[in-house]
Amino acid sequence: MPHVEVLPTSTSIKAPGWALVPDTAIQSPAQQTSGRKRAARSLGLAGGDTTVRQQNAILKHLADLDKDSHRDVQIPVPKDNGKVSKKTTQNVRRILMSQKTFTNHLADEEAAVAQQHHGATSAATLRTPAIKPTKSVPNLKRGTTSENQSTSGPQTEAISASAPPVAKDPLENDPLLRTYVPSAPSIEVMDALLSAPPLSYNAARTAPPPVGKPQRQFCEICGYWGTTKCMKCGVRVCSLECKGAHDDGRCLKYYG
Amino acid sequence: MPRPAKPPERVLPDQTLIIDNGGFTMKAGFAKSSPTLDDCHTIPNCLARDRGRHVWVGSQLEKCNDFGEITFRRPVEKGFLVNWEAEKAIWDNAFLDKGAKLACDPHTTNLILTEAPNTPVALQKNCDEIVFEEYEFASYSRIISPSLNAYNDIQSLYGTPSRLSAIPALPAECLLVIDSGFSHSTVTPLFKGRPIQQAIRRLSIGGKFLTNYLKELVSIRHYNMLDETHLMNEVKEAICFVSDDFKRDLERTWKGASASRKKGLNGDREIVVDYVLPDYNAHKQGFVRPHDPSHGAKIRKMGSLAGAGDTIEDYMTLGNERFTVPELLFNPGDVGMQEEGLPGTVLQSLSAVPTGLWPAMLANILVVGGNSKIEGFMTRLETEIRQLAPAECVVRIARAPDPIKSTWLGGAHLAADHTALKAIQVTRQEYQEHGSGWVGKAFSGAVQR
Repeated sequence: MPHVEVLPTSTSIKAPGWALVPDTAIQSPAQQTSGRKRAARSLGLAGGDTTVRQQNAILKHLADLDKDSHRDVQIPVPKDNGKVSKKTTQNVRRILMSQKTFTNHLADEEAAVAQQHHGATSAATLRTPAIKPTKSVPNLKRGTTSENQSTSGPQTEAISASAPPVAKDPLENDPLLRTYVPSAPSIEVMDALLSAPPLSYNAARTAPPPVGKPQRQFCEICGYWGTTKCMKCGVRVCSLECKGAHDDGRCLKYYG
Repeated sequence: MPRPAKPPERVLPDQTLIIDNGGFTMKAGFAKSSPTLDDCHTIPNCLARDRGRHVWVGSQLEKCNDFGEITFRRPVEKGFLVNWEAEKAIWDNAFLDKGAKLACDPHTTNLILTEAPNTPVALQKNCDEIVFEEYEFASYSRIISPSLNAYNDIQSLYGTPSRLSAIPALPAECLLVIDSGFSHSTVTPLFKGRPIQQAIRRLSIGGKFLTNYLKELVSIRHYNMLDETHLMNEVKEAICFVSDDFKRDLERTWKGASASRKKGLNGDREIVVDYVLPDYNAHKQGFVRPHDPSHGAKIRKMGSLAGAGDTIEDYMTLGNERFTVPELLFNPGDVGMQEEGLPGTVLQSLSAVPTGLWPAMLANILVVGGNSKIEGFMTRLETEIRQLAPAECVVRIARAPDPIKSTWLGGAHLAADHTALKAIQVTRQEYQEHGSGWVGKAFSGAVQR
């Protein structure tokens, strides 16, 4: 890599914080391959569903699946002429006339949360564990390991003391056979937890699964494992037969 | 001017109406001293318009017999009561009209109304104002729906002796409610009947999502069903099951699979079925039958041999749709949704609960909501929670006897105990005195009453 240096000339101004830096980043494979079309394809299709366009398509698909009907329907409330209209209060009129959808309400709530968070950093509606697990929480993952024994000593003794006495077994004190159950939380802890305010709508959404498991892909036509991608649009198909069906009506893109 | 030290003794009327206001149906009924499931009425919570542009409101839909291309307007959106204009029409029809099964005078009735967890505050306020200013109920409480389940007799579901009938309204001490309904699925840990709000988690997949997914698959593979949401819901309820071995079942339904492979190794029944579509003109219901690959069936379908006595029937052959659709509850990633499946959601919820309560929560899991009626759902859920849970903890999981009406029944048990009811209700007088802001605080427990 040749060394690039900006030589001071009469016109160049030394601005603090700016410098010409040679671009030494590794070239992406798309730039290395020869052939314009192949490069364009491999950008979007090689690494899975990563492009912005495909992400947007997935989000739109999910939003469609969550709708009541695939078309917008307007069903007016049938008028009941026989009923005498009761005098209503201002609040009731406002609520009944409201055309707000849940999306509007959600946006309002998010704005309120953001404002509250801006004002006071201790916004309780954000998802922060209100109760930090007590200092010696045993590692409650599969199986007991020897490291648990050192961390949860005093707690298990508290439990075993309160447990009803059972017939003494010679193996009871065997460290390999002991179970480690953490003690129940105190009343104060539970009171604090029960009086904590509810989370906001978005904070209560379940988190994505831990990384590691790749997304399963299915054939668009028959639902079997989608082993192959359509070269044009990136949709998965399983066989030539399904590829034919896909090309006949469902592949609408000419370029990747 | 000093105010009187003690407020006057509140008197509640005897009649209590319990409404579990769900996205698909509303479960409503009056409390009795020993309530049963028969006291609960299931009313479709929607306005529907059929092909003839006639609009059906709520329970009127029972009289409708042409569900072709029917469209719905639902006041409950994503599980939350949003549109009061439509909801008022349905409530008026159900509770105020003369001749309605649940007709009542709100001035002499207590109301227990459920809401979904994590409802935005603005919607809660709207709800309080409508109940007191429009309907003028004598007293009212708004409770998140899973917590009412704690008042049911939970222990008998796990095969342990049921509790004493002398103390009816004492809620279960620790209970983890999985509510998989029409709009979404929620996981709510309850401690002595009160929700641990910080630990409530929601998976955005519910029955509606599954129906729409099935509709989409069928529309690609068989007939265009995009306008037939009602029919696809019936198909879903008739055919779907949760697979206990997804890979094996997918191989078995592969179109190229040999006959022996389709049957499975130990002679299981075949997965592929035919669903015969309903004929609304002839008032015929749709039904499921085993797949008939013969030539005659195909001919009948095409209608080429349909003479005078022959019947033309339309059917569709469903294979892997039967289990890939409910599979979304366990693997939302199959449609690209960035959320963890239901068993993982349970564990995420537990992670916000002190570890000391984990054994009690995992040993008392109750499943409610219509999705739990899908065949194989409970075994799969139990297997996966067992795999994820700590090895020391016992996992006990039960489905309510009627998963749809269970929440209502819990509310009815609560209302049967008059002192317990008095502790949670807000009277109309209190509302007029303190306003809706105070009522909201009272229901969230921030105000001492």
